[in-house]
Amino acid sequence: MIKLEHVVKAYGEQEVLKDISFEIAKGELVVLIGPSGCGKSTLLRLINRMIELSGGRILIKDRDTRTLDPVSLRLGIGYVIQSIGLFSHMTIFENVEVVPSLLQQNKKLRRERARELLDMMGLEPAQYGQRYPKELSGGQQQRVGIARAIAADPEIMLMDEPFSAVDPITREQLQDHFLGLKTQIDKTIVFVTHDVDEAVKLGDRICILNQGLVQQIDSPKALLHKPANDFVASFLGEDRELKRLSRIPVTDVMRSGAHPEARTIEKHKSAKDALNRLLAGENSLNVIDDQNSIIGTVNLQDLQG
Amino acid sequence: MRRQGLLLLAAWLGSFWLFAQQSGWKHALSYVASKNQTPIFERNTLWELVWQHLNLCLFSMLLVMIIGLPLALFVTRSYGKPFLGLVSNTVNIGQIFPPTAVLFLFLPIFGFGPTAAIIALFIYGLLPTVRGGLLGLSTIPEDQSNAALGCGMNAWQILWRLEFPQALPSILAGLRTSLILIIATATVAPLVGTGGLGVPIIAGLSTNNVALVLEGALPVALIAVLADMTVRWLEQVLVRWA
Amino acid sequence: MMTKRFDPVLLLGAGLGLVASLFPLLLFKANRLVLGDFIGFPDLPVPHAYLMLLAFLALLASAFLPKFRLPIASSLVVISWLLLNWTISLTTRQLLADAPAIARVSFAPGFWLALFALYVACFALSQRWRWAFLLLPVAVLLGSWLGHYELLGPAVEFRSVASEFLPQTLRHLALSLVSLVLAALIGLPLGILAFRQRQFENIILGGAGLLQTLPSIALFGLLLPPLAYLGRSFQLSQVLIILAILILFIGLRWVSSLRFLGNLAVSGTLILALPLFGLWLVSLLSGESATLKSWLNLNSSLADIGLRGIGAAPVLIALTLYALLPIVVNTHLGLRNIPPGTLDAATGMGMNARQRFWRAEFPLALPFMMEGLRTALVLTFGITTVAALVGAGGLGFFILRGVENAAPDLVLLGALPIVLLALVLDSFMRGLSWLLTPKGLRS
Ligand SMILES: Nc1ncnc2c1ncn2[C@@H]1O[C@H](COP(=O)(O)OP(=O)(O)OP(=O)(O)O)[C@@H](O)[C@H]1O
Ligand SMILES: [Mg+2]
Repeated sequence: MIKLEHVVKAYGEQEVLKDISFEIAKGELVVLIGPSGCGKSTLLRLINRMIELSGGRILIKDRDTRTLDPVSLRLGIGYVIQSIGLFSHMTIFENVEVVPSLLQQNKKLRRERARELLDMMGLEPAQYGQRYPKELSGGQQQRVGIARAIAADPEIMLMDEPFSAVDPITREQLQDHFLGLKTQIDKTIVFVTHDVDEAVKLGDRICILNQGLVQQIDSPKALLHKPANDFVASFLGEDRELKRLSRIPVTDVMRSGAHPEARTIEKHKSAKDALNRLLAGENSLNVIDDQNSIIGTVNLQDLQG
Repeated sequence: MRRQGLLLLAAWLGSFWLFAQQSGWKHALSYVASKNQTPIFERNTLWELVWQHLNLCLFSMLLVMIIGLPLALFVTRSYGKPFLGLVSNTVNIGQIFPPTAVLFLFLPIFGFGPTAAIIALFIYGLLPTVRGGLLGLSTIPEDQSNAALGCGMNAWQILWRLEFPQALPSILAGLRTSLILIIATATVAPLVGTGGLGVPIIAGLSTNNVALVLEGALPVALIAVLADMTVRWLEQVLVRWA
Repeated sequence: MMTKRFDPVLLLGAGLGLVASLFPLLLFKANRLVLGDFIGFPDLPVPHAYLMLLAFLALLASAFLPKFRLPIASSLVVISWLLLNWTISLTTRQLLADAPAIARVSFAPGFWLALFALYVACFALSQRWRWAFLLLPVAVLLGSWLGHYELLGPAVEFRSVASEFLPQTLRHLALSLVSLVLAALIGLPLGILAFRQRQFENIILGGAGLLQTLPSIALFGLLLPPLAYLGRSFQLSQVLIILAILILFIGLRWVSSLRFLGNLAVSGTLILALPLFGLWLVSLLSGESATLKSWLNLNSSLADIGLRGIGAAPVLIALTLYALLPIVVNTHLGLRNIPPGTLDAATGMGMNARQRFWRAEFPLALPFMMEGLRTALVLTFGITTVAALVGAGGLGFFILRGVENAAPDLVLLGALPIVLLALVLDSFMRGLSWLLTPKGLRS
């Protein structure tokens, strides 16, 4: 869907991106991660041509973006900017309807769609729709920002640290919400963050950037298990095995059978959750499904494999 | 806000009704006039003076808007950028010039008559409007202009959907200052050869006739205050989001 | 930094200069009653006019120079101005050679446009060289030194009013400065009050804003009847007695149950004493010995000491009222902009309210207060222009006389110094406020 070939971006003398090549498949969510100032936002803005390439090329659906009209290119790409950027003179409804109105969609339909989206983002449309951005909390504004980017149903979404302006608890809620949403909407997403946990939780693949180069691009599990170099290893942190467990469902590590007297854990929890409880003193845990019937059991030895 | 609007409308209508009561004014002013003086300006009715004044002000104001806003727009576009410094500098220096002095600076150039007055009022009125426009158009929050670009707006859409509404509060504040300045300076304009409410004031001051002075001063004060309140009301109605 | 292909602003300046030199530069009037003839390019002396045109053309071309643009253009600015002056003084001499004594030669639109054109050009150059803005004054001074300005209308008019010029200028300054002092005495405390007492905030700020919308001569007019009445009906002795009683009542401020009455007495004293003080100061500054003498005679009416419907009194009161808004608003703003943490820290250090005000709040708000005073001074200085209409004098006096005698040159003699002095006062106040800004806050 998106293909980067030897992408270079320089500001004057300073080469921010030196040689970036990778490909993103349709429906995939790739997380860009790296230290602050490594060029993550720059890479996103190159994709929708908010800024121009210094070298290399970017293909979207096999067409060189430089041959496309930048305005219509951007109309087809949802973009959530790092600083939210809601239009302060428009109501929440008007903000969500911006792109549909640029595409001159029917007024009734787009209001309908805006309601649907706000609802989906967990904001009561009747309550918030007619408010102005300053009357919303930071977290609520970020949700509106996401709704605005999805409104015209673009195939591609660029999301620049969309959950950065909120406290850890709200952030977790938003992430869970987003994971649920991702299964409903089939979109190709480039997602920027500098939070490793968030990357591991959300990404199909993670791309680690540093010093203008891709250090490693791989699935979260593979990345955490086999960091390509010292930078990646230290960036992911000493606890990367723990992080890896958070992406493994507990059903992947359980044995068949059941342990008498053991407490239970729901099947959609991660191996990390199980480890937490085992370390807290349980000998083993029985995994249960939605009907509360036991489908397997897990103990500390199982997690070491 | 609706009620305020209706009240303002009523105040305007009421004032105009009041200005039309020529004999009423004459009667009322005769209490302050001394015996051998005329209590009211005789060459024009008050109604005519009000219209002369408003004509002068509104015509200059129209020129201010037609020239000032596009000028502010031009120098904040990428192709007008080289002139931004010149215009903002000139506007800032120009605001130190006293308005009445400017009125008379144009007298030697254009001679006595309404042309000089209108040009002077227009040029001085231009300053606050251009300043407001520049301020508004050059302080669009960067995150919002990024978002607009990222949404896929073209330059025209960015102007109409983002920059203009965002700049509106400053633009309106600038227009209000211009309007008040023009109304006030137009009161002195009869010295340059125009009509308007300044005529009886100046005549009254030079003949020591309090009645004539009041005949001009009261209406012009009323008009200035109402104009100020009207634009302020407009600011509230149009800028609900701030 | 690379030189751009061409400098559009310099181009604009040079272009305006070209247009200006084709416009009429001078206006010749055989006497005050005729309309006069415009003297433009075809009537100008031959080699000089062409040289002037050539200089502006060269300036135009210099906007495209890849190298040495700055020194060449700068010299061309000065040269073209000098050539313009040369042309003008030659033409003036020719015109006046066989004309009657009352004939006048004055500046016409082309001259003013040329001045503006050079301002634009200097601005363009000052983007690359900070001192380029001095080129204009240097050129103008050089020009007036070399040229024969003494033959031109404004100079002739100046000679006829020369003896009055300085006194009227001082009078103008006195009126605006004294009202600034009065406005500061009232406005600074009002601004502090608006900040401290929430319930007064809207009344004070709104009231000051409303006053500002009133046209100045309308305000003069509205003040005329009451002031005339007061001046006619009261004697200095009566006012002094009232003042003395009020001052006695101020003591009530310390009786806690009558505090309000005491405060009322303070306001009354100020309302009465401040205008009188202002009037006294103005007559002192403009050296009116007769008025000053009346102060010593308790039987003189208030009109004798200057409180009349016309003259300095309405001007002082109106100017003070106008100057209130910028002072009050900026004082309020300055106090509100102080980070709350700073004040908490001051209290935490053990300062009492008075110390906290003088050591923390006041110095931090001072730059804003100075900004308010600067705006107020520029405002009052400008409005004093119309003071002549109510017989209070000032530079507006020449404007008014020029208007009455249909002598635009005389009008210019009033208007131009007002503008120049306003610019000077503005820079002076800016400098002063820079000096008074705490070092850490200077930008
Ligand atoms: N317009 C610009 N001009 C010059 N340098 C720029 C510009 N925009 C970005 N840079 C530089 O490019 C580098 C990358 O910036 P970018 O915004 O892409 O970083 P980032 O990875 O998104 O950082 P963060 O995590 O803090 O958002 C930074 O060093 C920045 O200073
Ligand atoms: Mg970034």
